[in-house]
Amino acid sequence: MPGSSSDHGTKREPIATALLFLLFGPLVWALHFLAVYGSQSMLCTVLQNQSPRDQAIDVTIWALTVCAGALVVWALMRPHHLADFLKTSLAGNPFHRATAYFLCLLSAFAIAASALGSLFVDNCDTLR
Amino acid sequence: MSSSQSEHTPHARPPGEEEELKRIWATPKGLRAITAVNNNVVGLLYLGAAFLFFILAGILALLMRTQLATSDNTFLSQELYNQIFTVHGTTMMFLFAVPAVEALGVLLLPQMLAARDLPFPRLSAFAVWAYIVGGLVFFSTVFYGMAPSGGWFMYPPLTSSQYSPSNNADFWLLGIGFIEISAIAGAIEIIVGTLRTRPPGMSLDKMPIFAWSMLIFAGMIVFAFPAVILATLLLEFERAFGWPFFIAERGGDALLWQHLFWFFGHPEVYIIFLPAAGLVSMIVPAMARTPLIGYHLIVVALIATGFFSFGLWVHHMFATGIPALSLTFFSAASMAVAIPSGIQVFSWIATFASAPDRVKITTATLFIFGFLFIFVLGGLTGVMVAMVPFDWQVHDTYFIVAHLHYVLIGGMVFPLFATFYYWAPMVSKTPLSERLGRWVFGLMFVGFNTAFFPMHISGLYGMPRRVWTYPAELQLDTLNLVSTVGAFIFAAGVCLFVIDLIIRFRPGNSKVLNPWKAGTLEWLPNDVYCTRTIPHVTSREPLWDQPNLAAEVASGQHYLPNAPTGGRETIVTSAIEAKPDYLLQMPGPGWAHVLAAVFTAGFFLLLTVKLVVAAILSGIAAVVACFFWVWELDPGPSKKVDVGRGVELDTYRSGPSSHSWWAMIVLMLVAASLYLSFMFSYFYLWTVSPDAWPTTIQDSVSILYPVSCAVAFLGASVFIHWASRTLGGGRASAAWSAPVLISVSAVALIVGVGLEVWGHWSNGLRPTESSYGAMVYMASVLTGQLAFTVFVFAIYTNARFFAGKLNNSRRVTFDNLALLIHFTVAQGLFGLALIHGFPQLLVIPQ
Repeated sequence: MPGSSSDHGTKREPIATALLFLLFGPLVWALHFLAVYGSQSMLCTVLQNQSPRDQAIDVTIWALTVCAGALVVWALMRPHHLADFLKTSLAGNPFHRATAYFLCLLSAFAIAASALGSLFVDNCDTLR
Repeated sequence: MSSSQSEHTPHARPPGEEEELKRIWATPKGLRAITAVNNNVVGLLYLGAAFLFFILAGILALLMRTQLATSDNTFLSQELYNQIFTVHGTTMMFLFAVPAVEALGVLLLPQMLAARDLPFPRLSAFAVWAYIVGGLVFFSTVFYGMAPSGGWFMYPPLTSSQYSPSNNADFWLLGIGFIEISAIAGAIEIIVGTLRTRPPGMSLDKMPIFAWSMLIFAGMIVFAFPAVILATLLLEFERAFGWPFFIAERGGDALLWQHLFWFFGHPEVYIIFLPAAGLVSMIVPAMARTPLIGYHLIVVALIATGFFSFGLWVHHMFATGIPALSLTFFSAASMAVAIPSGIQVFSWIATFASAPDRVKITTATLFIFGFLFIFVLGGLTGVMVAMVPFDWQVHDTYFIVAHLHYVLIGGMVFPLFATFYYWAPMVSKTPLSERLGRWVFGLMFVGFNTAFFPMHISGLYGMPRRVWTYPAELQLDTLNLVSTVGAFIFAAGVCLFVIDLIIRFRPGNSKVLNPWKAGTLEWLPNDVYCTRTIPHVTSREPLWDQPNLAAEVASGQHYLPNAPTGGRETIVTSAIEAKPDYLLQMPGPGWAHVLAAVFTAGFFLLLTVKLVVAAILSGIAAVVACFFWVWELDPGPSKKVDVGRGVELDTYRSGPSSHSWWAMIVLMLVAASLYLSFMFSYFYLWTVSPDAWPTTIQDSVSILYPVSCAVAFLGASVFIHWASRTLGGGRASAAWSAPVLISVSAVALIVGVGLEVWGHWSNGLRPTESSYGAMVYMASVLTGQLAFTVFVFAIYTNARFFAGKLNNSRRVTFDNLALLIHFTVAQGLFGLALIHGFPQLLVIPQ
């Protein structure tokens, strides 16, 4: 019917993939945070006083951190690859590319900061 | 259907167009003014109500400070003091701070985006009225001893039915509930409005910083508020029905409340701060007469702050005995979040420093300077308390009271007052007095620091929080007296401001256009219809970079110089590049949304006082009012219209690029956040009380029940998909099947939920016996709520079908229903996997 449209016609930048590209760094940080906190809490509960508990937590935290860090570094070094993977053209715009870049940079710092605590502090014990 | 554009040549507009726009957008007079939906009216009403609550909560603060002025004081009784500090905090956080920034979004965003209004004007108006009615009733409880007294954070077990048996806590739990609905409604509006109603040419990198901050603010509300909605739901079920979510003896945990509350509570303070920071980012360049330094980095900082703020919540729980490594995650994040805040502060300072001439020192500028000083101090103490060992010393002392007031009053109230002075000429016939304004600033700045700086010291000396008095032996009389004097000086400043408002503020168009010579679109010539035409924008400061823009817009040379459909319209543009997409037709004034708001508030408030039948009737009335409200929407397609500059646009859009679809997606994100909070709660309680979970096959429900339930859920999706195809089949004879399939789909959901509940009930599980039982039934409550909503929505959708208002080309209503059904099915199936699947991992083979 004239005057109506149900979404075909002009090609538009899909908002979902655009947001994924722009927010890639913080999203990886959020997933890393959730996974590290969640796994540490679960493992402390499930393994209780069993001997491989601390090693299991250390390995889990560092494995998650390496994976998250690698993803963020990949996004920093290869933004166009990320954009291609997400099927968005946003990497071609300097503003969007730079926004994604700086967010990845801040997120990389935050990911590292989260994991560092495991080097200095007991995995499951409370301080008192 | 793509828009087309030919060579643009300016020409004089036909006579009478502007008068027609004024007629269409006129606000009702007299009593009917209540029905107004124009953003400038609703925004001012919203802001006025928020400011009223600021005053009321401020009076409570003065009462508290009077009580604490000397040791062993008996000015207030202990119970009354507890109610006052609870209502003070609750009012400031829920009834002032968030509504105020949301009000500024409603008031300023359409003007900044040169949109004629926000995309869902009646939704904003509904949100305002629900908030006003509910907020006034909630606040009034302090006058008759019914106010909650458990602190604004309402920790169980103090707020459980055992220790708070009367309705006081329920006023908080149910009263705040609809205020949360109001906030979420506003968030949906702001997200869709910011992303889809920008003027053509205003791509994301040209969006005003305030629009960025409101977009992030709204996104944060979507993910943060559901946690506290779930928490209030759980506590209310525990109080009303004995479901033990927080009762340790039956497998619950009071810390669950703290996790849920602070997962909301910490983003809440950034929800309050970020819009204020956005306002500062608009005022500073205007006063410095130079573009904002580091626009790009500020956008990054806003987004980063929004995300990182979700990783800080346990810093409110450092003293609860959580494992040390867990604390480090949140300590690290709490320090990291200072970086994006610092980026913004340095950007503002750099902008001031790069001013080509002297910075224009106005009252607004003074409040900005005050904000910088106070907020930075508050931020520094924030980094201090991010250190766990230090926090252990100052937790629950007045040091924290000092910190939170420095960041909240400094970070939000001072920018708010700067906003009042800066934007008053846009909404008032006369600006506020600069002479009185300097006195207002001076009194507020001196008063604030006199009141709150000594609290750092009294806190370090051991003055505890939330105490109605303190013994003389603590020797804190002098510091407390100084704080009290400071509070009254601050109040004097606010009083002076109110006097200035009464004398000078008169809603209407100012005679002085753009007194600050600012560069953003809200300073274009405005009337009830916003700007005469919607401009094509080519930079971040269009009024600086396109000097003739104001004249061009006023003479009708840009988009939408008239009302081609004869009603209220604005242009919808694409989210990233802001290319014209279609014309959005919007509703005008009406009583339905007002009544819906009143009856919604009535539903919650009547439940609070246990008048269940009256509450149900009020709820039904609210639903009926909503039916009348939305009946006029979804007008259906008509022929393309000319919107100026050679562009023709569709007048209707369905499917994934429709603004309505986007609103539904945001709503489903809210529902998904709520369910994720529930899943966190489920796993958390399992880690706390694993013994409450079934560990043998005999404890598990027969598999027939979850399988039947899943079949019913999947059937609902299949039926609605079938209905969609029937609607689009083009065969009139098959069209009758659409309402049947819609009905069957809705009923299938209800049957599915019923089967799930019956399965557990017949297995002997009861929600009151343990936290496991409570969580199992709560999963059904959450899906059941959605199923019930679908049922009501299906009735409405079928009514539209039979009234001839629903068909294949006029299908926004149907599409929204289908989205909701598919989401409900997904949530239901997820819930089945969680409730029936997870315990199977724990079952010990017999």
